[in-house]
Amino acid sequence: MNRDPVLTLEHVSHTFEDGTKVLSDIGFTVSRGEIFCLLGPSGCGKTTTLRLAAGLEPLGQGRITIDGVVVADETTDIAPERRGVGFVFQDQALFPHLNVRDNVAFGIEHLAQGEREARIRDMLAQVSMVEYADAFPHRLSGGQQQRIALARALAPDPPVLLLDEPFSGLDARLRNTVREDTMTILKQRGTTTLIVTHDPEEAMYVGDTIAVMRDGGIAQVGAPGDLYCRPVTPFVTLIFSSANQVRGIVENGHVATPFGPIAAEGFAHGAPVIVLMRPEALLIDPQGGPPPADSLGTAEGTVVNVRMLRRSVFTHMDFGEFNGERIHFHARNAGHFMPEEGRTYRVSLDPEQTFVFPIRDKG
Amino acid sequence: MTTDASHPGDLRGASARANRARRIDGWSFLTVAIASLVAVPVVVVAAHVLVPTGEIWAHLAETLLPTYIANSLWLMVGVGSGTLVIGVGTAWLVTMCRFPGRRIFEWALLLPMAVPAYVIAYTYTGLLEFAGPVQETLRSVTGWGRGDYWFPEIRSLPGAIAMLTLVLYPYVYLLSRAAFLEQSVCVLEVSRTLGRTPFQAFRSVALPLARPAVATGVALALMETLNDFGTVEYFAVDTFTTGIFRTWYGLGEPAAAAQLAAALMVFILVLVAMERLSRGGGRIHHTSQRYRSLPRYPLAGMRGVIAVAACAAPVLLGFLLPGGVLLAWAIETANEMVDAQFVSYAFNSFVLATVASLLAVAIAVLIAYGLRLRPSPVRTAAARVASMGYAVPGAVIAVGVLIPFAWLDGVVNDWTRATIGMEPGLILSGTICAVTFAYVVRFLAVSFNAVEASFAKITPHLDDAARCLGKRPMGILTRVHLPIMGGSLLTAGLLVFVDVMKELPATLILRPFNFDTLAIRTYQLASDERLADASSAALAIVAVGIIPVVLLSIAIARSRPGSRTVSRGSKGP
Repeated sequence: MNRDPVLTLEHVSHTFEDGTKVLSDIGFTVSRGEIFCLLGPSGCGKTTTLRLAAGLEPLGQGRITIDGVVVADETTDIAPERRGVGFVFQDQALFPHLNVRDNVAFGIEHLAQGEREARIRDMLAQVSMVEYADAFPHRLSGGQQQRIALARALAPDPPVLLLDEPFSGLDARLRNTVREDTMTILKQRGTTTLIVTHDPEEAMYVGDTIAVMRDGGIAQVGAPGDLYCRPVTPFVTLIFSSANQVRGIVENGHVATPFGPIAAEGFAHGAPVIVLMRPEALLIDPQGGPPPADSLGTAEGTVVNVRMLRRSVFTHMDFGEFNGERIHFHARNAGHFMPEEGRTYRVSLDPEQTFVFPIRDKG
Repeated sequence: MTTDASHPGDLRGASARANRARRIDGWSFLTVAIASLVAVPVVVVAAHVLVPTGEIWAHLAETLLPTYIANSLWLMVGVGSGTLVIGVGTAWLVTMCRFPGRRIFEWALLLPMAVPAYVIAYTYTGLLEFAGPVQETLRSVTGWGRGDYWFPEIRSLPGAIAMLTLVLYPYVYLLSRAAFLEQSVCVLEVSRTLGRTPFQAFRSVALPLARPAVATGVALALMETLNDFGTVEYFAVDTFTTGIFRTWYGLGEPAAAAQLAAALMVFILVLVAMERLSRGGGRIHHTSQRYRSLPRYPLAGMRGVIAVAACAAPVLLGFLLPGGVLLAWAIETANEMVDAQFVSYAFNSFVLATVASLLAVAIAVLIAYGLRLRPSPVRTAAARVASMGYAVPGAVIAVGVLIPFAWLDGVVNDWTRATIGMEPGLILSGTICAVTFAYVVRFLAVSFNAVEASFAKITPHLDDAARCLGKRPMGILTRVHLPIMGGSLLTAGLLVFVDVMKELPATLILRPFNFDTLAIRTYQLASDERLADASSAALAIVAVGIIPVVLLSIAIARSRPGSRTVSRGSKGP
């Protein structure tokens, strides 16, 4: 993948007509062939970002560039029908009065008939829907509708494809298949894609790059692994999984936890911090042998409740009192070892999944 | 399309939103222009409050105005309570109870809607007057002669109330029924578990929940009451509509007629305000979303018989009896009455109704689409103004149309006489222009509400998808919206068509000379006391009037608890 920019947003801020501020100074670049994912809770402005890129919403401030052409800034506002971006909607938005063929043909009517027919056949073949060319949307299943929506959006060969929660309307079983098929097609075609989702697993599954959004701003941009392993804020940490939390004060570069003091580098003496430990960071030792060499510390915990969750075991543990609070942590360990309820185990803390953040007004 | 790239100085600092607002402001201009045009009649009438009419008005105010006010008030009280009792009562019976024939009554109760008030008035007069079959039978059986017995006079204020109630209660029935269906069964069942009897549950839960809908239904019925001209004119019950007509033609005083029209508008305004108030204060949010088919309360034995009678009476008196009488008369007189002339009346009606409904639907589409493209306060206000005509009585609109059109014709004729020495004549006020315009003003709300509801069912994502695929707003309208809405547009057009067919006062005042329609023919023959001769034209109007009833019945058959009934009542202001 080269770094040739296709879609660029610079200093984009946006306020709805009713005065609600949705975006404040966001910017990112989607490179050619890249699948770029906007991840965030509902209401964080990710769909608005998509609509601004498509021109469906007139831009407030900033600049949007597609393939080197400024499509929106203070004085420019290219209409959506002339930006030529592909857009797949959450509800697919297939034209109910047109059959599959005419839906796909809708955006390529300017092509000569022969070329158009060939393109339609080609698109339907790519999404394996050739035999449904004459069917009307209401006869199609959710997954089939999604494929036609994709074919329709890709038919004009747009410079960038925008996907707004395209899989969230599908039931869980279907979602994985459709997602995989879609990603295969996009990667095969090398389509530059901006996709919006609120599902962190989906974001990590589909995104080459993920931008985590929060309250109209971008919290962190990076490869999925970066974001998961090196989150820069508690929000980014918590969007990917829950975490056990403990607050403390930094003393001489360390903060006290139930697992003993752990290093808090770069924090001033006396700074209030929060320590987040993913459930995966709590390693329950079945044998009671020596802790792993890189362990941050150990603690004795009593098993309150154990549940097997498919490929891992989820354990509720009680670690007694700490700083005057009852400590009830969750551990999630791969494999099928089931700790015994009521028994006390030694638990060691994995540094890979433990993060220390300063406490600010907005965590 | 980079906006104004050639002179960026003009737009320095302008936001994209402002640019875009400017770019598609043609729609705002269009909707405002249409709304202004539609508002002309009302504005003209309102402005005449300020025109001095001296003697005439003083005379009117002294002699006739108190009568108009008293009669209008009595009519409203009578029709209001009549439609309330019949409408809510029958709606409750068919939605909440189980008795023989309930499913038939569900739609049959709408049938009287097909009969214009003046037609039912003529029919009952023919039946019940001194020379009518009822009194003749009575006399031949008893041997009484004139003056030997008392018989209720149908051509009276109570008679008018009865006639209007019989054909207007379906408004209340329709909206109450929809409201009862919308209510969650769970709420009613909770009230039963808390110790209410079925009737108490109805009184303390169902009825209060339905109150806003009932109020809207009664308000619509009362607007129709104030709009009525044919019935009150025939029964010699002097109200504003007859007063306007007489002041215009009898006294030749347009300004005074307009002032009467303005006074009538005050009644309408009060009505609209009261309806809004009762709706606003009683805004009800259904707390439970659980709907199941209603556990109808079975009515057996005597109670079942009473329920059947209660539902059958309005259908019988409001539709079957007058319809049957009309049919019998029509068969009797068809040989003389259904001739080439009759065909030309029918053709005139058809042309007027077709032109008006096409225009009304087209304009409604433009306004509703403008609102969809970019809802702005200006466009919303324009849409409101454009659809207020339904509350305005036909006689008021007629006066408000004729005054400015006649003035415009005068101006045009003066100008052509001065420039080319010719007078084109009454190109606006003397042609079907005026009457068509009045119909559009009055019935735009009917098509607008149907069209707007149809637009609302189309997800905005379809517009977005079409734009991303390269279509401009106008292309989206013709390629996406109109094909999807097809059936609804037809329905909207049909509703206007039928309303135009039935319309009497505006047609009477505004039609071109010697241009008679079925409604006019019915009115004229009835005025000449040729009631039986009027029956074929009247029957034709009723037959056409059945179309919306059928449409509504289909909508009702499809409606399930929780899904809103598509109701004509939604055309209120």
